[in-house]
Amino acid sequence: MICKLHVAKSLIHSIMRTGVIFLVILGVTTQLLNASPSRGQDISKVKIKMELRHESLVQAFQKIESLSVFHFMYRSKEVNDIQNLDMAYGEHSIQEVLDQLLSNTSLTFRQIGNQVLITARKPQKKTAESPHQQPTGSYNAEAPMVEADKAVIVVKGRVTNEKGEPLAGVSVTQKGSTKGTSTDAGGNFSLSVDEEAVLVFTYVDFTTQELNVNRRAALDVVLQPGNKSLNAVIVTALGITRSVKSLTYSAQVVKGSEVNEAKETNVINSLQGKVAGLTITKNAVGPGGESKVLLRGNRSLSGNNDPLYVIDGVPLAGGIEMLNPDDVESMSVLKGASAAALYGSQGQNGAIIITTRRARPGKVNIDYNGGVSLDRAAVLPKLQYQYGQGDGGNYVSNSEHSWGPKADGQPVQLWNGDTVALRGQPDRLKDFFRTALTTTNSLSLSGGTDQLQAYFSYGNTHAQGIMRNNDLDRHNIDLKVGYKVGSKFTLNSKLTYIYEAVNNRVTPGEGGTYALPSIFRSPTSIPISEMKKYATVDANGTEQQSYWKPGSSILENPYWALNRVGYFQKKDRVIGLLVAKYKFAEWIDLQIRGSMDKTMQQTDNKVWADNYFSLVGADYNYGTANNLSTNVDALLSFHHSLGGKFELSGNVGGASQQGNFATEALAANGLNKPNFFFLSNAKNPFITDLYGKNPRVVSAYATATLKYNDYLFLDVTGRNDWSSALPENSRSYFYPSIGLSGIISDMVQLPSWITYGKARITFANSGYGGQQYLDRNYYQVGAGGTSISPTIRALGTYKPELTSSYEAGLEWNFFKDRFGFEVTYYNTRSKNQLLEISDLIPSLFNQKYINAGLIVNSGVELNVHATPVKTRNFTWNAGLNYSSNKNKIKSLTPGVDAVILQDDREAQIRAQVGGSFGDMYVKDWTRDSVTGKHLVDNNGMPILTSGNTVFLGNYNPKFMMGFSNNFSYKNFSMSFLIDYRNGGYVIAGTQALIDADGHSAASLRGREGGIVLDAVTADGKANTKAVTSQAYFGAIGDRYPTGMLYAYSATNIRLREFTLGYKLPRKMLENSKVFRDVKFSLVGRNLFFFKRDAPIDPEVTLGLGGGGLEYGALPSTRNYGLDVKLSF
Amino acid sequence: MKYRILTSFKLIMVTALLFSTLTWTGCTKKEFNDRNTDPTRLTTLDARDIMGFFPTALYAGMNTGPGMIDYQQSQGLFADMYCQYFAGTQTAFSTLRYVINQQFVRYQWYSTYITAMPALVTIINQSNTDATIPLKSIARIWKAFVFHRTTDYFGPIPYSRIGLDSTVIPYDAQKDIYYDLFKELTEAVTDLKANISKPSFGDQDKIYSGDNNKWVAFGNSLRLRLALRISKVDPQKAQAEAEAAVASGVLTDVGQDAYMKVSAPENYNGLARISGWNEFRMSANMESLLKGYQDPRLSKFFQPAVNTGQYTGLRQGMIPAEQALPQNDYGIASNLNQSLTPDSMFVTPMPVLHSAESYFLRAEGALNGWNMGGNAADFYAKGIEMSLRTWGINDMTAINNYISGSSLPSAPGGYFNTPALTNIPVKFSTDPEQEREQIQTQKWLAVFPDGFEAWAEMRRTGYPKFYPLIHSENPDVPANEMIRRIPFTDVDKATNGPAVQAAIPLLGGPDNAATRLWWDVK
Repeated sequence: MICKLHVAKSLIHSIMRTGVIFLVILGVTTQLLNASPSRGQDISKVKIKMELRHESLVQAFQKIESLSVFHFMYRSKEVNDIQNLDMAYGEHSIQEVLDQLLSNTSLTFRQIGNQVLITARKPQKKTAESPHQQPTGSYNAEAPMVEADKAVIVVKGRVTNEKGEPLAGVSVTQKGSTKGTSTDAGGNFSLSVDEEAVLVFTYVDFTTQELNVNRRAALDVVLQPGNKSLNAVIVTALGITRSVKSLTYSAQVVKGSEVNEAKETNVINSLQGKVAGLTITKNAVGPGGESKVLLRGNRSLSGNNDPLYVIDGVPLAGGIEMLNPDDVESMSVLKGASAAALYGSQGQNGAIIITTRRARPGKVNIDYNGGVSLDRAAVLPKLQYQYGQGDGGNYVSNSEHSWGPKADGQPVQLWNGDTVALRGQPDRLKDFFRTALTTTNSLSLSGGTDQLQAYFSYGNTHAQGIMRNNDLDRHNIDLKVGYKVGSKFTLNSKLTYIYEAVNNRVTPGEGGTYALPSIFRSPTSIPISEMKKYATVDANGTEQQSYWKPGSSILENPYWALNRVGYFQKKDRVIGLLVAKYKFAEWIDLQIRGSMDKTMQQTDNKVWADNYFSLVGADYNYGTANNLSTNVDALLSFHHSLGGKFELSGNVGGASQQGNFATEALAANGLNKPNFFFLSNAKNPFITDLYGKNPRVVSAYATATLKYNDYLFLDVTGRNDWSSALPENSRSYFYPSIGLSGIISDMVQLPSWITYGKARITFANSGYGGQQYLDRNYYQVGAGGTSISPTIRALGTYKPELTSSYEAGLEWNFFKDRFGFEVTYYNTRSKNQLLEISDLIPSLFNQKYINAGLIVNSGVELNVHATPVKTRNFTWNAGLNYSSNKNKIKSLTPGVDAVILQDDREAQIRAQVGGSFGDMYVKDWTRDSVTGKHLVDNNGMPILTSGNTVFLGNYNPKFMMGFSNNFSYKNFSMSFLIDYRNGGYVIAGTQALIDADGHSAASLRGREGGIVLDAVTADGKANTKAVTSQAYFGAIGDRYPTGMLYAYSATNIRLREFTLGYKLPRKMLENSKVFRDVKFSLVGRNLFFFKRDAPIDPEVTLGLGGGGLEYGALPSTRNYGLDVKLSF
Repeated sequence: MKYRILTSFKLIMVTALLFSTLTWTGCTKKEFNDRNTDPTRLTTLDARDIMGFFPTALYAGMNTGPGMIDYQQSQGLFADMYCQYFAGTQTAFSTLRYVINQQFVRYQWYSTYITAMPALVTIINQSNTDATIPLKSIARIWKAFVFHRTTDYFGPIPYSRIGLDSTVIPYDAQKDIYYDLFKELTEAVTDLKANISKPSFGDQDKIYSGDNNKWVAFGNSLRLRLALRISKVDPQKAQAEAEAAVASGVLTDVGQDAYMKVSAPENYNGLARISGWNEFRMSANMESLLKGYQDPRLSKFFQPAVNTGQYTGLRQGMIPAEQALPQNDYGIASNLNQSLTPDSMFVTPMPVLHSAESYFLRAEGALNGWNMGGNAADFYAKGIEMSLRTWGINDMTAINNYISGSSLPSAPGGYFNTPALTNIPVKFSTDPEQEREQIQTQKWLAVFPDGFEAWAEMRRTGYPKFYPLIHSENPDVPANEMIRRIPFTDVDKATNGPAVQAAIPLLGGPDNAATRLWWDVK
C-alpha cells in the first residue's frame, strides 16, 4: 500500500510536470499540491499553511478557500470593514485560523458541509449550539437578529424549473439569517427555520424567489428563468461550459425546441434563417440529404468549408444529417475561427456543438414526440399546353419535343400504338410528383439517482420523397449513462446507434436515373397514364423500355427511370463516448475522454437492361465505405482566485485524433443473366476503387481566462498541432488567440433602462493540417497490370493552412431584456491555402497542389430581439438576424491570377485575383460594339460566344435576413419565420431545356410567324429576319445553354416556418395523473414566397458544390405537419 | 477504505493520463511518415512497372481508356465530324456546326499530355540499358504517333520542353516538331533494327504483342505519312524522308496492320462505346460514295437504319430544329455496323495504321515523281485491295471488280436534296488531278474510322470533296469552307498564357479555326 501510495504521489508529480504551463500561470504555492482532497472534512482538522500581511478579512477568506475545499458565506457589509489583519506564517487548522481572525470582531462562524458561514454573534441569547462564545466586542454592526423565541420548524420541499424538472444545487437560505442549504440532485431540500421565516431561493439562470414559510412544513417551489443576458451559459469548444458574458466572440445558441417542432429530416436545415452568418444550401436529393453549411462565407477555395460538428463532445467524421432532431437539447453555433480555435484543424470553419438530451437525477421521465407531415413540390416549371408533341408544327409520335401542332383534341396515334386526343396535360408534373408522407416517433426514458442516471431514447423516421421511388427509413437509439462515485469522480458514457436506409436518393441533372430530366423534358401532350405503360416484354421474357424515342441519348421514359434504375444505400453509424472526470478539489478537475464515430455504408446500384445510358445491358455496381474517427483527449480545468478581484480559470489539454477511411467499389460491367443483380452474375467484374487512409493529428492546448471583478474578461488560448498529413519539417504548427470582453453595464453606472451592455474583441488564428499523401508523387496500378502516372503534382514543401481573424462585437439589452441587440464585425484572412490548381498541361500534370493565396472574408452579423408585449397571458417575442459577407480573393500564387474551380455546362466558376469566391462566367449573346445591340447572323439567328467566357456575377448572397416572431397566449403559441436572401445569381438550367424542347410556357413566344429578334446584323443594320421559335430556343437553350440568358437573381423572401401550438392546461393534466405535459403543434415549412425572381426555387442547385447552377433539379418542397409531444 | 478507493481512482486517472501522454509522445517521425505513405500506390518502379506504362500510353494515344467520354470529346465530336465520316444527331452539340467547345476538346490535350506522355517519358527515361533499347525505340515511335495527331489539331504545341515544373512551357513551331518527329522515327527504327531479336513489351504490347519487326514497318509507314503531309510546304524534305522510309520497309500486307486490342473492363473500342448513344449517324458523304460505288465495305462500316431498313446518311451542320425533323431523325439513318456498337466494344480492336494507307501514300509519292518502288496505278490498286481485305473482303473477283468499277457516287437526296459528292469513279483515271482525288478518296475510305488522319489529309489535299455544312455557327469559318484547325485550348490560355501568346505568331494567322497549319498550304 505504501509503495502504491508512493507511486501515486510520484504520478501526481508527473501530471504536475505536464501541466507546468498552467502552474506557472497560476503561481500557486506548493502546500496546495499536498492538500489532500477528501470528503467530509472538519475545519478543526484540516490544516493549512498561510500567513497574512495587512490583509482584509475577505482576502483571508479567499486565501483559505484557495487552500482548502471550503467556501465562505458571509454578508459583505458585515465583513468589508475588517482590514489590516496579520498572521504569522505557520500551520494551523482552519478553525484555529478563524478563531484568531474573528477574535476581535462581532462575528462568529459555523461549518455546514464544505461551507463556512460567517454570522454575527447573537448578543442577547447565548445558544448552546454556538461553540465560540466571545465577549461582546467593539464591533457590533446592525447584525440581523434571529428572534429565538419564534418556533423553529423543519421545512422540506422540492425545487423545480418551469417544466417541472428538479433543480439541483439551488441555494435555499432564510432571509435575514445565515441559515441555509442547497437542494440535492432530486431538487429536494430540508432546512430548519423559524416558522415565520422568508426563504430565498437562488439559482444560476433563474430569477431569485422569496417565499413565506407561513408555518408550512412542505414547500414546492417553481423557479422561473431569469435575466438571460447575465446568467446564460453556453457550451463552447471542447465541451467547456462558459457563461455567455465571458465570451469574447460571437456564439449563438439554438434551443432544441426550435429544431424539433417544425422538423426537418436533416436537422441542420432547421437552422436556416435562425442564425446570423449561417448559410445552408439544401441538397435537392430528397429526404435526409446532406446540406452544405457555411459559416461566415467560403474560406477555402478548393477544400472543405464545412463547419465541425460535435455531439456531446464527440467530433464527428461527417455531417449530422442522420441525427434524430428530437434528441437535440441545444445547439451552440461557434461562428468564427476564434470560437473554434481550440478544435484546431477541424474547427477552422467554425463549429456547431450539439448537446443532446440527457438524464437528470430525479423521478423517471418518459417523453414521447410524434410527428406526421406532408411534402408537396413547391415550385414547378411553367409549361405550355397549347401545342402538342412534334417538331416544326407537325405531330411526330417519337419526338421528344412539344413543337407540334396546336393541340385541339384531334386524335393522334402515340408511339405505343394507342390513339388519344392530342391535348395538353396540365397536371402532369403534379401527378408525377407525389404528396410525400413523413412520420417520426421518438420515445425517451430518463431518470436516476445522484449516483447513477440513465437516458435512453429511440426514434424512428420514415420519410418519403416526392419522387415515388425515394424514401428513407431511419432508426436512432441513444443510451447515456452517468455515474458518480463519491463527490469527486464522475463517469459519463454514451452510445448511439443509427441505421439509415435510403432508396433512390435523387440525383439531379443527368447523373443517376435520368428520371428528373426525363419528366421535365417529356412532351406536354403525352398523358401520364400512357407514360406509365413504361415496359413491354420481349420474346426472351426480358423487359424492354417503352419510350417514344427509343435509344435516346439522354432521356428515358420517366416511369421506366423511376422503376428500372435503383440506388440503394444503407448506413450503420455508431457513436461512442466515455468521459471520466475527477475533481481533485473544488477548483481543479481532470477529464479524460475517448470517443469514436464509425459509419459503415453499403450501396447498390441496379440498372435494368434496356436503359439507354447503360452500354452493357443490365448492370450492377456495389460499394462499401467505412469511416472511423477516433478521438482521445485529456483536459485539466481549474479556476482560482488570485486575490483581490481577480480570478483565473483555464484548461490545459491534449488530444489525439485519428481517422480511418476505406472504400471499395465493385462494378459488374454487365450481367450475364439480365436483371439478376448479384456479383456472381457479373460479366466483367472489376474493383474500380480501393483506398485506405489513416491520418492522425496530435495536439496540445491551453486556455486561460482572467476575470476581473466579474465584468472584465481576458481570454487567451494556444494550440499546437502535429499532423501526419504534413511533410516532416512542417508537421508542427501553433496558433494562438486572444480576446477581451467587458460588461460595461457592470463597470460604470448606466441609466436603469440599460439592462446589460457588453463589448468584446478577439484576435484568433487557426490552422489546418490538410490532406495526406500530397508530399510525393505516386504511381498507380491499373486494370490488367498497367501502370498509371500521377495526374496531380505533389507538393513536397506542403505547409499548414492558416486563418487569422479578428472580430469585434457589442451586446446590449434594454428595458429588463425586453429589447436588445448583438452586432459583430469580423474579418478573416486565410493564407497558405492548399489549392489544387490546374497545372500547365504540358508539364505532364493535370493539376498541382500549391500553398498559396490570400482569401479575405469580412462581414457583419446582427441579432435584434424584442419583447414588444408581455402580459400575464400574452407574450410576443420578435427576433431579427442579419448577416452579410464579402469575399475577396487577394492573391493566388505568383504567375497565377485565376483558377478554374468548376467547369460546368452552364457556367465556369473561377477564382480570380480581385474577384470573389463563386464568380460565374457564362456563354453570352454577343453584342455589336457600336450599337450595343445583340448581334444576329444573316438568317436572323443569335450569334453566341463559343465558351463560358463572359462574367455574369457571383452566386453567393449579398446579405441574408431572418425575421422570427413567437406569440404565446395562455396555452397557445404561434410562431413564424420569414427568411430573406438578397443577391446572387442562379442559372436555371431546366428552363433552358424545356425552352429548347418547346414544353415551357416561355416557348410560346413566336410560335406563329416566328421571332424577329431585336438585334442588328454584322453590318450594324436592324435585323428583319424572323426565325422560328424552335430554332431560336434550340440555339440559346438546351443542354449547353447560353448562361447569360438563363441567369436570374436569386433574391427571395419566403415564409420559412410557421407553427401553431396548444399545450393542455396543467390542471387538466394533474387530474389525469398520467401526463406531465401534452403539446400539439401544427407546423409548416417553406410555405410560400413573398418574392422570387427565378423560375425555380433558388435554393435548389446542382449538388452541394453546384453554387448557382440548377439543372434538372428536384423541386423544393412545401411541408405541412402535426407534431405531438407527450411527457409522462 | 474510502481513502483507498479514492486513491485507486486517482491512480486510474493518472495512469490514463500518462498513458495518453505516452501515446502522444509516441508519435515518432517514423509513425507519422508511415501514416503519410499511401499503401495502395507505388513510389518506386521496377522493370515490370515500367513495361506497364506502355498499354497506358497506347490507350491514351487512341483517346480511350477508363474515361467514358474521352474518345467522344477528343475525337468523335471533332476530327470524326470535320472529316465528315459522320453527321451529328444530338441537338446539344454545336461542335458539328464548327463551334469549338473548349470543354470537350481539352480531352485530346489531356490524353496526350496527362496520360500518354508521362507514361512514354517514363519508359524512355528509364530504359537506358542495352537490353531495354527495344522498349525505348518502340516508345519513341509511339510518342511520334501521339504527337503528330496533336500537332495536326492545333499546329504549334508544347513539344521539346514538356515536363517542366515552370510557370511557362513554350510551344514549338510545327515545322520544328515535324523535323524532330522525322529524327525520332529514324533513330528509333535504326536502334530497333539493330536490336531486333531482343524482347520488347511482350503481352503489354497491345498492338503487335512484342513483334519488333512489325514496329519497324509501323515506324517507317508513319514516317511516310508525315513525309506526304509536308510535301506541299517542304517538298525536298518530304521526298527525302518518304524515300528513306520506303527503303527501310513500310507496311505492305494486312498481316502487318496495326490494331489495338481491347479488353474488358476498361480498355474499350472508343467508337463502339459512343455509337450506342445515337448521337451521330452515317454521313451523306459516305452514302454518296459507298452506295454509288456499290462498295462492299458499306455493310461492313454501317447497318441499315432501324426505321427503314435502308442505308441512309445525314448532312452535317443542322441546327436543332432541323435535327429534330423526322426526315433527319437518327431512326431513319444508318448507325455503325454491329462490330462497332457497344456490344462489341470489348471485342473489336481499334485500327491504328494499315498497309492500305501505305500504298496510297506511295501512290501519291509516285505521282510526285518520287522513288516509291513502283507506279501510282499499282499502288492505288494495292491500297484498295488491302483496305477491302482489312474489312474481310478477300474474294479477288469482287476486289478486282471494285477496283475497275466505273459507277459514280450517287445523290443522297433527302431533306436537303443532297447531290452526289463528286463525279469520279473508282477506276483509276489518267488525269493526274483526278488521280490525286481518287487516291485521297480511297484513302479516306481506307483509314475509316480514323478521323484524325482523314481530316488532316482533307485539309492538305482538298480531297475527298465535302458537303458544305447546313449551318456554321463559327463566324470564322463559313459553312462552305473546311475547318482548318482547333484553336489553342482555354485551359492552356488560362495556365500557360504567355506561351500561348508567343505561339500565336508561329501560326501565321489569328488563333482561330480558319487559320491553316504550317503544312496546309493552298
